[in-house]
Amino acid sequence: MSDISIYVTSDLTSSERKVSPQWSLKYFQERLELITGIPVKFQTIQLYAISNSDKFDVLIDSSTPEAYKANTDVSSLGLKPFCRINVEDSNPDSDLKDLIDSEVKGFEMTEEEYQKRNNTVLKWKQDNKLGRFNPDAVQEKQQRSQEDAQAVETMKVGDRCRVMRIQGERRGTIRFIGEISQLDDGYWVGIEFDEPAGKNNGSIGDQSFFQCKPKHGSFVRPAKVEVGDYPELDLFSDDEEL
Amino acid sequence: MREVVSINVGQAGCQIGNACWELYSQEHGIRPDGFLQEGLDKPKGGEEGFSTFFSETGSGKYVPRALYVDLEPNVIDEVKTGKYSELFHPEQLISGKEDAANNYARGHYTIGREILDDVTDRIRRMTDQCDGLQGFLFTHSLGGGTGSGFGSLLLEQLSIDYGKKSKLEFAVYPAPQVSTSVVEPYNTVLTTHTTLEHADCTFMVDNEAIYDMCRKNLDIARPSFSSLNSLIAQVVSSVTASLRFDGSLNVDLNEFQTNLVPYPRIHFPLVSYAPVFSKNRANHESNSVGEITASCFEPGNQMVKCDPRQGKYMANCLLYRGDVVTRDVQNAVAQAKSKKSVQLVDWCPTGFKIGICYEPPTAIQGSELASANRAVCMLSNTTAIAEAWRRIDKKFDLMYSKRAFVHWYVGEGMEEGEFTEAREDLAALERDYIEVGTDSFPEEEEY
Repeated sequence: MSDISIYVTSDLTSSERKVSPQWSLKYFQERLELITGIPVKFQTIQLYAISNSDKFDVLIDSSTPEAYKANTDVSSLGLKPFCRINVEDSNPDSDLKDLIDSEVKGFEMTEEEYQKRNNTVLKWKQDNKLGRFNPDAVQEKQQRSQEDAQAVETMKVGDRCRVMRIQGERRGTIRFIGEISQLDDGYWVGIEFDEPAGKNNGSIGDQSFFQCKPKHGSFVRPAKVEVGDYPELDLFSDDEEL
Repeated sequence: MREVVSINVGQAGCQIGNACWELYSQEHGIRPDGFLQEGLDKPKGGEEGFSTFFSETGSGKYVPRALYVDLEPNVIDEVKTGKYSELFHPEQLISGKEDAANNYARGHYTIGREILDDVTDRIRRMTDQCDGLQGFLFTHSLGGGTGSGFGSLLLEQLSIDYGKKSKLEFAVYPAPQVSTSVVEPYNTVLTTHTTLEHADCTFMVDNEAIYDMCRKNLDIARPSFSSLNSLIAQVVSSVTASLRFDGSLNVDLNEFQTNLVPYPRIHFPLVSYAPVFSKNRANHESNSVGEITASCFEPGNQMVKCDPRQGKYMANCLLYRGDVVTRDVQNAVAQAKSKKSVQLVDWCPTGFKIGICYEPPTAIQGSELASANRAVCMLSNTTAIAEAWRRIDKKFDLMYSKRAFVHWYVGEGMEEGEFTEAREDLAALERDYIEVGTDSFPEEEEY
């Protein structure tokens, strides 16, 4: 008789396998142990004739070993192609249960250990001066932070201002100037816009830097902000000219 | 000539190999016995393309440049007795007597070692017939004993024997929800560690993703291996089409690496394929270049479950086949690039490479997949695939913290240190992906 394809399932595994009707039951069970991890002596084997139904017959019950005839072969089990064999673990102290969802502290590699390794993306970026290891990018960043520092000198909280270089013209009032640990290094300016043209209410995450109505607040780099006499835009001013 | 030798290892590898060669034969007009189909005076696909994958014997018969290896006889016996038995020379089908019993150590050390010399001899005989060998195409699973253990052993050996020749893998990655065997996470971590520096580019396929595709798109209630494999074959065929067919844009094996892999360790592109729908639905679906391209960005068309919207792209290749015009492709790609969810790594140049092969996909008889006049396969190197490593590493830790089943490996002569060494390497790989995704320039302008 030729091999047949069956499904083998257990709490932890599910697979399509080929079995040979000529195998001894003992050999079959040893193979099931290697697949499911359940030792032969604790295997209770159920046969689902239709693989996705919930009706089954118990073929081998580990609690009644006398019924277990090691000298018979697999053909005596009456397996049909694409039936399902489910293996239950009858050991109450089995370790396998812990492998399903228990939380363990996984292996962790510290930053230092990673830095020490050769052949990493980090090393490659360092060696080839890519990303933050690129002197041009670093220089550009320095230049930007200088511009920001200069811009900060010209502004104070309460000043009227406009933000031009991000998306059209938006006007508002400066409510905060300083560094924000949650964002990239350097100065940030918190603005309360006249219109709901911002991203937040003056908070980043849980921390509030100033208070305003939702969608009226944003944080931008100082170089993007112009202070001066910028009164609130009258939204309807254009209409009057029509 | 630019020959490519396919090597299928283990049960999954050999079965996927079967599905692939069945499809390749049909695509090139070769009958199951290796002779030309009626009415053809030469194989389809052009001399140069065709001969990368097939060799010709004096008698007008064509033979795949392929080798099947399994440690146990079952699957290979099926090839020997199956419909395509005459396509292969018996020398191409190698099997042992005793299987690896889902154990990497058996495949890599004990049982696998015994068969290694025989296998490398036969590979040598095959490569000796090549004028300009490009490299090897490997198919194996990462979770099985032979696929993981012997597959990695053979890859190591090929690195020694063939130096810098390209080695590409199609690897079946364990499904996220259920394992096929209890030790699958061990096998996967061990083989990934061993092959990391030997494979140039690895295309992963996760059975669960394929399974869901078969159920949702092809309406197969309980897909069997053969349904899964014929879908996988269609994808593999799309990837290799540009090598096999003479066309306007012919791709070399090493171009996959050149175009997709910025740094050798980061060589696991995500594969997506469209269209995938059943014959019943075929009449209700339109199938424009724009639509199939957009589908490739849908999680339901990916071969590995992960979320590219949460990651950044390092490189992207779109391989079209069939009735496709360049203008449509350009529009579709421009549209894809403008999507907010498509974020590119910005410290290294990222391109969208396009390949077009004018040969349409072939539908296999009896397959549920509807035939289509065009299809696209997207290969994208995205940091999102690191999710797959995190998932398997976590499962590894769960078992290794209890040293569960470690004795099965030690019993085969493996040192326990190899577990920790492999796990550290994978931890570094996770870090590598994080490092790829960090330092964006320019920074966000507004918060």
